[in-house]
Amino acid sequence: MPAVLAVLAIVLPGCPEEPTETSPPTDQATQPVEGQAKPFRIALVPERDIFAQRRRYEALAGYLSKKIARPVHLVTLNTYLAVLNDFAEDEVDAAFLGSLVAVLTIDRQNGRVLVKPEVEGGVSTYRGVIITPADSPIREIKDLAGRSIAMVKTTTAGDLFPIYLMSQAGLLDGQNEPKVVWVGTHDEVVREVVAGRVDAGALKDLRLQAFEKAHPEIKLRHVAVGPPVPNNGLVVSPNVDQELRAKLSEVLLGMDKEPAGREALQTFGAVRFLPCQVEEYRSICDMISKLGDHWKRLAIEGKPPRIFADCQPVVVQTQPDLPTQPE
Amino acid sequence: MLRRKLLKILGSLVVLLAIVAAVAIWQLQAVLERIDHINKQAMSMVEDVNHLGGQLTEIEIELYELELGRKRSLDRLIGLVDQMQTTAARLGEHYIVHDGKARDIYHGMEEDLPLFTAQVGSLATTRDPGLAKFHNREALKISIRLRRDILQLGDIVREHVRAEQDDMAARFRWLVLGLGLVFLLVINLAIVMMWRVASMILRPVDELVTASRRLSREDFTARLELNQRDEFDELGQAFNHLAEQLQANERRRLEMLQQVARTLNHELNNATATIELQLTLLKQRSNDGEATRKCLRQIRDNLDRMTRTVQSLKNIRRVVLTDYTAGEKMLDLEQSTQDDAAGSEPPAQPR
Repeated sequence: MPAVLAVLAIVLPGCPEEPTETSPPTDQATQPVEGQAKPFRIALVPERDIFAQRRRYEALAGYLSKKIARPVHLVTLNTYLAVLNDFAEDEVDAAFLGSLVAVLTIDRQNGRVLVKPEVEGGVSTYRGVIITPADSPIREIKDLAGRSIAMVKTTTAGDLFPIYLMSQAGLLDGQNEPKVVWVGTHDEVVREVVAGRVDAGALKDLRLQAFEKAHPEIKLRHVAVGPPVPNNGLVVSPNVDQELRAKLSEVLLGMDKEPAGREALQTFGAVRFLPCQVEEYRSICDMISKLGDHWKRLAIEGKPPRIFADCQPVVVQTQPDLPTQPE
Repeated sequence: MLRRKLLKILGSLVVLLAIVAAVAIWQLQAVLERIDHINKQAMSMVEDVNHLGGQLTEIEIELYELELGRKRSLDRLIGLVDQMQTTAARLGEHYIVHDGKARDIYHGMEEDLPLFTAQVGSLATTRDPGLAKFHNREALKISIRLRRDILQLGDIVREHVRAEQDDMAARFRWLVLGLGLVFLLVINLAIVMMWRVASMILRPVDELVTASRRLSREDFTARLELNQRDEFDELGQAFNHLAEQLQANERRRLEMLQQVARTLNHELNNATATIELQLTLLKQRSNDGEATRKCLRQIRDNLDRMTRTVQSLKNIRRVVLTDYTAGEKMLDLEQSTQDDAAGSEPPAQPR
């Protein structure tokens, strides 16, 4: 017996553990399982740091997956137009879209907007802002002549709004047309402006506010501020049945009423979801309607969207400070 | 006492063996731990370094695919960047990267990775060719630095692993040698102890057997002198006591025979003297010739024989029997009157 124990004492601690397998990179929030319901695919557009953005939405996808009893897959696309293509090809079932692409999707793919997120301070909308360094000679839009401006393609704040302003200021037809530098995200716009690689930038006020909060030492001038448009809302493909649409709305709108939902919302960066109506995108259509031929400057194929029969004048602010209270 | 002695000797041997076994197990365990450590930690670090290089390559491939428009989805890129960050973090937990040159290299990597991630993110989403070129160049610069750091780190880790393996092999070699010598020593000690134990038991047994054989040959002078201060001493004393008892019994028997002989001698002497006298008178008075003288001579011879027999009885030194008739023995006077000098002579053959 002692001999057996002695042998075991030598052998057992030296026994190798089971090798741990490293899991391959996963593209989805949850893995599809044979026999399980068809996954619900939600597309994301690269708004900020794409890695942090992915992690934020994964919390939401996990919560949704449990609530609708289907795996929810996130698909991060490299351009906003890629989302339109995926909608057309039925590669995705829904997407969190910026207001311009939401309008395009509603117009071209018959998308249905369901909800929009509300962040701290009761903010569920955003505005386009034109910024320059605080010591820049650019004080109004017409000063952009012959300068460079960083913009984000296929976004209201980063594309439509500055094009609209430059169109209204008559800068797009002359020789001193501003040079547009396309960047991928709103965060990069402010980085390019701060780095001095461009003279001005067009981005969302929410991203600008986040940057200014994180870098109070950096001073930027707000040259112009656009009308409010809904935050990135959830637009659903018309191929999604009414029952699932209703379920999604119910789950998202009720998230803030339960602990798991609040936890997911916190990771996502929102306080709650609010219902979103098509009417809230009116100011976008108003700006588009004023562009005329300059619509082509947005480099969006096809005709401009027209989801409203009548258009209204667009209100643009030129104060340096952004509004702190929601309208 | 014998039990205690045996217990002491055998117990010491068992304890010694147990101690040697425990030390051997402990040392072997230490070696196994080193092997385990090399396999798990050091080799896993080598794997992590290799993985990091592979992940960097895959990220570059993904960026290329995105640039060519072959892909629209960024999920794999995001996954690869996450994996790279996880691998780098795991690398930072290894002790090797906290020493010397490896520490500096790893710190450099820690600074470069977030920059690389930011450039990759920008490159993946930017649509401006000029900006894409800028981000690509920046990402490439950082990627080159990362690769160089990964290569250097890999070399350091491999060198460290090699050194650890060599060190472990040397230690194991010395351990085997040491254990071999110790076990040889222990075996020799065990042989000596077993020899001692055997002597403690076999020597007195041998002496007991020898003395018993002497006793069986009626050599009652056999005695045992063991001086072991254990149960064998008691056995020896018991044997000696028995031998003394037997010797005393033999002496008493001889004395009794001698007494009987003296009694016979005394009684027969008178009769023999009377018979001698009468024979003399008869001889003087006898006129017959030779026949009468012959008879008288025979009577005198037998009378002399009787006298010698009685004399012999007086001189008995020991009792040696011989067969008389079937089932009956008688005293062998010739043997019984001889001294038993060797004490090992076999008894006389029957007549």
